[in-house]
Amino acid sequence: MKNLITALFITLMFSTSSAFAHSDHGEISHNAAIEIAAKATKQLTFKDFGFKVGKLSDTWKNLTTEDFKLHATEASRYVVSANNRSENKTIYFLMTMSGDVLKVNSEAKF
Amino acid sequence: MQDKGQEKMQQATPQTMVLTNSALLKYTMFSIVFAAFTLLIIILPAEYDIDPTGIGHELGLTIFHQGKDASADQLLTSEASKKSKGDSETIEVLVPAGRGVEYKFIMAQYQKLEYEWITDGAALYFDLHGEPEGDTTGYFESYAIATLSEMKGSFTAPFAGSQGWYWKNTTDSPITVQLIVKGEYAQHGLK
Repeated sequence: MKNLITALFITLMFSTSSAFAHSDHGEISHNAAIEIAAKATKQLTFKDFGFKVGKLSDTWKNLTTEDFKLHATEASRYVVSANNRSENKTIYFLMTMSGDVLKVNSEAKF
Repeated sequence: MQDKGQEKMQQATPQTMVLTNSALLKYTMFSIVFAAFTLLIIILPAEYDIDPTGIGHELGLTIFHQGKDASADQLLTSEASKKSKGDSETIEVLVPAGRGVEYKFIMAQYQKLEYEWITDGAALYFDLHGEPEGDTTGYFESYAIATLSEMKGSFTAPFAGSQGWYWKNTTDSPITVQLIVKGEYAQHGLK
């Protein structure tokens, strides 16, 4: 009986672990990185956040998801590009794996 | 007498658990059956709204998903909801100097809104709150009150009605708020 209870307890712990487990808060996906870059672009058209690109012009508001690409995945960093076809310009977002935007410039060299 | 002696010895010395192959197989099979039972009855209904047996519904485990479905039925316009659910929307709100403005979203119960707002200058006093649909008493429920220049978060409407922000500008200059939202709502605008 003791063994049965032990087996039941262990089984219960394993079977419920998937109900408690949720996605990691630390690392974001490539798609999430692109979404963050898209949102940051909108915010940069509104205000200068002190990045090298300064405040972006209103034409950057018209960018769609297709204009954002994952440019590179470096050591614990994402680099996402945003291409403004109307101005023929591309800017690059350097962000941490958790989605914090660190730098934004036009050179992709950080 | 001999049996009693052996029993006493067993009580005095630590027990060692010896599992035979058949016992191990039995426990393994029991564990698999129990895990499958838990998966079908509890985890799938609660986590993913998959309830093949109907027991999850009887136990109330599917309540969160039902709330979502029910609230979708209460939408004022289903077309607006579809439009608002997938894409993010960017809204700019001007808060004049020394005045307050209220910007609200019409939402059904249990609908969710993710938001991020920033100001172009100083911090603003704000009250993120909801007012129940059809209420004439002036009742409202506050979800967050602070003075900030930016905020990011999400909320689930606890009741059907208007949900949103009251921003108050106590400075001598107008302040613009850029609000980026993504979620489920029917309409939005200044109140």
